[in-house]
Amino acid sequence: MSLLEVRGLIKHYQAGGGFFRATRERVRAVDGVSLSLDRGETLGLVGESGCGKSTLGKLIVRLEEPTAGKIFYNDREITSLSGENLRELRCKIQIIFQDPYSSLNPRQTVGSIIGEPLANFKVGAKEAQRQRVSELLETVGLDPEHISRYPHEFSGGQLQRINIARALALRPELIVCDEPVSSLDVSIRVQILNLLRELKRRFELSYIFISHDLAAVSYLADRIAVMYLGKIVEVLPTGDLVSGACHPYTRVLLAAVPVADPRQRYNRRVTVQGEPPNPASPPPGCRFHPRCPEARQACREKEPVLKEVGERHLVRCHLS
Amino acid sequence: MPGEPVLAVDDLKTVFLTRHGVIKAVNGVSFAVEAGKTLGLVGESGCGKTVTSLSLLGLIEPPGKILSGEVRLNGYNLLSMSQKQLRQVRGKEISLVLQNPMTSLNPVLTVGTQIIETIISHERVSRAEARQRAFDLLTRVGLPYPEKLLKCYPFQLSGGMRQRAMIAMALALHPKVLIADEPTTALDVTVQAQILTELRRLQTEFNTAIILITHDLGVVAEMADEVAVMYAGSIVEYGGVIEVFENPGHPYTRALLRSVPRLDRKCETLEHIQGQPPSLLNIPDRCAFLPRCPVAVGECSGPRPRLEAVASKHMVACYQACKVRARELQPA
Ligand SMILES: Nc1ncnc2c1ncn2[C@@H]1O[C@H](COP(=O)(O)OP(=O)(O)OP(=O)(O)O)[C@@H](O)[C@H]1O
Ligand SMILES: Nc1ncnc2c1ncn2[C@@H]1O[C@H](COP(=O)(O)OP(=O)(O)O)[C@@H](O)[C@H]1O
Ligand code: SF4
Ligand code: SF4
Ligand SMILES: [Mg+2]
Ligand SMILES: [Mg+2]
Repeated sequence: MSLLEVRGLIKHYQAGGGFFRATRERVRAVDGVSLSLDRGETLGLVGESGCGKSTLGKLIVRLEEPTAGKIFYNDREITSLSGENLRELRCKIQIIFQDPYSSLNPRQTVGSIIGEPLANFKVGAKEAQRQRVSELLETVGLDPEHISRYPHEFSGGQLQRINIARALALRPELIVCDEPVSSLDVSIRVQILNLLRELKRRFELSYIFISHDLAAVSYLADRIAVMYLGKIVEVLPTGDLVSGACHPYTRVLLAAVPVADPRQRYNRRVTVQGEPPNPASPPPGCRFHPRCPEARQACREKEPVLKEVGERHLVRCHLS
Repeated sequence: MPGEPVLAVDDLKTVFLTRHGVIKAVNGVSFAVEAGKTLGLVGESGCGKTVTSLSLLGLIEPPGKILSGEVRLNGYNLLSMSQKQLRQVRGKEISLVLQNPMTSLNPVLTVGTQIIETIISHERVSRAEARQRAFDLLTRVGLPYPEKLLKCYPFQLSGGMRQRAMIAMALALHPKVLIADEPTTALDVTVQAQILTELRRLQTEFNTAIILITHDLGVVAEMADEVAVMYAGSIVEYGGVIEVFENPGHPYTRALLRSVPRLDRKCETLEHIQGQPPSLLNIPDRCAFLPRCPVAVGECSGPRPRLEAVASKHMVACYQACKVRARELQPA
């Protein structure tokens, strides 16, 4: 049974008028996404900047209202929960954002940042809450003595640990991690990735792990979903990624990742040209066709559907 | 002349005198790069990479100060030149591409005007000629519709297009040395791959020496001939790229190489380095990696170790470089 299921999710934004953009045009940030997540699973979500990863993440945690589509959690529809029911859901599903600096209030102590959800949800008495905050600090590898310090006294990696502690406070089941390590130093990234792994095991968490870094995603995820211009184009088990990915876009993404082995430098195949088109006016047919090395006539005319090509392997391409 | 460096940096020291104390941002850095070759300068954020590149071009402003060092280009020491002389050299002999091109492109001038002005201010060519060259440059860095782009303002371009425009401008006068400071860090891997490919192609065409600054070991492995690993303001390892990647001598380099997730290797659990990079404020004179080093011994608390050769064209600044390596090479 899946923990989370998303069906035909759509989010269109009214874009502000830029120079190239006509005013009142609609950005199709998420444009018909269906996927599911099993209990205890980590689903990686990858794709280029602007493809809709964060928007999808925010829809799932109900920070954004979908334009259309449905979200189910534990088989119960949560798309339009409100009031007390939505509050209850917020205990179960949490989100961690990319930038640890701007996501924490500089005027709050670490104790009150992490304790805020406990206070909001009136979990236990004041003293018990304080106890829980100390315990959370320890859980994420910080010194409980630092409970009365302010964010500016911490490094980026430590701030991200504080974010994680806050997300854990209400004992969630699912955490959406939106680029949690992208802004961190190289030597700190793996510390946080390893922490997320350990927490998952310890508290039986499920993750949606959003990143543009395929290598980081493949380190944590059980399955990987690849997104392009608001749509999922391929979903497959992580173990099959390198050898089994068949969507031309996934192949192109893989080929673009630099490998930390100087002897392999000339193995790189030609990658994709250009950048993703404007999501307000996606190309007709297959959205990837203007950049696809395999594109043919049918691709310009007909939009491919997401179909099963193997066990737990879905692809949206006319060639599959 | 093969083997002769076009740019040689010797014992560069740059500090920032702040009210909290002295930030030793660049603490005695030396390196050299040959024509047509790429030196990769790797290090984590705050280790002094950008201050190094700004120092080379004489762009350090108070409270910053270059304390000592030489930057030899074509037999001249850039650090003893006047600002006027430096302006002549910048762009023409040595140029810089920064991580965020928004800060180096002038927001109120079109891309075309900026490239054309750069050319006209250094060379005696007509405006029409300069314009034609700007057009060619934009095409060369892989930008579509160069005619239209010349008339665009920087904010109208995507991050990838801006970075290409920056590279076009930096190469407009065919400089001998290009310093690229995290040129692709803010970009998608797809766009990064395109830009790195263009850089390599242009390098071959103009025989440019490139100093490629990055925190991404993958980018270094892909681009560099030589690599310098920087930690807390100093170079701790320096050598040919294959030698450094395959026989890393410094515990920091070894740990970094082991801690990067890789697609080409399945790995159950990656090791991570404990702790965090040190602040460069009032940094003590000893091995800066000591507090995080898994193989530190008593003698490591001595004065800061100097770079010493461990193999031909391979230097490491660590008291135990040879010993640790010998121990690791020994069959169990
Ligand atoms: N509040 C908003 N109003 C208008 N457009 C928006 C809004 N939020 C996002 N968008 C647009 O929706 C699209 C998807 O954005 P989103 O932030 O989900 O992308 P992403 O995949 O997370 O990108 P990144 O990798 O850069 O974080 C983009 O074109 C973006 O500009
Ligand atoms: N203008 C400045 N004033 C004070 N300190 C600075 C200034 N610029 C850089 N620094 C300090 O110098 C050190 C090196 O910075 P930088 O070269 O930008 O690092 P990197 O490019 O490797 O990320 C850091 O400790 C940084 O805080
Ligand atoms: S449907 Fe056609 S254009 Fe789209 S990914 Fe497949 S081959 Fe490429
Ligand atoms: S000198 Fe000592 S502490 Fe420093 S890196 Fe070498 S072994 Fe580690
Ligand atoms: Mg995002
Ligand atoms: Mg920098």
